[in-house]
Amino acid sequence: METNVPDLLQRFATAPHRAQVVIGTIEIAVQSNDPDVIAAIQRACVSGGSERYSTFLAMKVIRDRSAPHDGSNLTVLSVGPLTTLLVGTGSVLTLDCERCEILGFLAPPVSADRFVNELLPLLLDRWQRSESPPLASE
Amino acid sequence: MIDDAALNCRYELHLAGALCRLLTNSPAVGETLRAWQATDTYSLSPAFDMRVRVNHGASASVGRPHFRGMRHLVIASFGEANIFVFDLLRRNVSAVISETVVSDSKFWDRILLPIVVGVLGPAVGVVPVHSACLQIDGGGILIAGASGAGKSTLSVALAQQGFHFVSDDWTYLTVARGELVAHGMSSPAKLLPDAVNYFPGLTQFPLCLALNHELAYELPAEKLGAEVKLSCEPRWFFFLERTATEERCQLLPVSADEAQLYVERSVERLPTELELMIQARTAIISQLSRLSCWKLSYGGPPSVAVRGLQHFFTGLRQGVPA
Repeated sequence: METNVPDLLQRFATAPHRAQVVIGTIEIAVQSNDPDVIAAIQRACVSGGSERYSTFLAMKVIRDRSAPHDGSNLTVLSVGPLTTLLVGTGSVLTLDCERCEILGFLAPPVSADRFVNELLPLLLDRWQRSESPPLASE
Repeated sequence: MIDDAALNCRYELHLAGALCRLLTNSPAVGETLRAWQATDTYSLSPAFDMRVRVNHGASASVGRPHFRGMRHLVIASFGEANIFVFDLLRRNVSAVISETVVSDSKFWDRILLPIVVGVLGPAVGVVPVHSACLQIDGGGILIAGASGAGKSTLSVALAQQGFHFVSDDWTYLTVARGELVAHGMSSPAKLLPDAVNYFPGLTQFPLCLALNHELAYELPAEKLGAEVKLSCEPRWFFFLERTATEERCQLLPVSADEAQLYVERSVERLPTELELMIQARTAIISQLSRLSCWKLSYGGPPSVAVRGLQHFFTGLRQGVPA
């Protein structure tokens, strides 16, 4: 009567690489299993020096090597506090404005640079346009 | 953007004991899901919302499924034009689909709706368990076993011998007025190609590719001679094991602790963000493990296990202690 359930959704994929960056006035704590994602986001980082940041986001992005390599169309689905970006069918990123977090998976065809230069700005724009983002803690 | 104001068609669906409030911009979705529309919502578990926006400019049919999840979110896509986002904390699922998918009742009935209940169930007090379910003498029987153990074959064999068929693979448990209730989703029975050895009539039906990419016969249980019920109150829980020995069936009691451990190891692991759901699920699993639990081992064709179970239930009817 032994059994166990594989993590088919990859919910528990580990993300050992971490960084704390600032983009505009948003402080972002990012975790990933892909050092290229961390490096790309650090290159895009515009540090405000000692200024106070208006908002804080937590982000976990997994490089999903088993995701399908199909398509490059970008689909956006926005409902209530959630905005989801889908590239092809293998890359998916969701911003939860209420919980101040971005969670997602990147299929191999989506480079770290495309993520940082194209997809992340869409989500951050949505985040900044959300009606009342919570203030960052002191 | 999916705006509730634009989703002006509203329906209530009855899905495995849960109430699903469907909001959509297309009355054709309601038409496709007519069979699921709730007539009595009194006894249903807490509700969840499903928002479906039909993209009238898209015509892509159902594509290959892809699932991912993190924390409280699960994303399912069926090609680039059909996306479902599940939010377990807020108890809802939002989707954009192509016009072609709207009327694809096979997709909704056999794939999407069971997935919706499987993913959102724990958020609304519905526990999916990997078990077949049948009913005899007014009491439900759950039959658990690993994939390939023969749950479907045994379920169909039992259904052909007078047991009512509820499900052959996934069963959804709720608690209503303190009692455990097992629900099916009217999913077709899925039999692997070698089942023709036991059910020769299968040869008149085509094999098809199942969701897990296995070749299988997928047929409404009624076509296999079963009388289907949507739900029952389970009383017995069997753990199925096939043996390589001679044609023989053995039933051995299983303790509640052992049953609970088995089920907890077989259900999907949930993240800590969903702690309240984990607790609610554990309570239902605990209630499940207090049923009369048995290990059912048999070798040979499924008729051996059918005879063993018929003997077991005949003994119960005659008052012989199990």
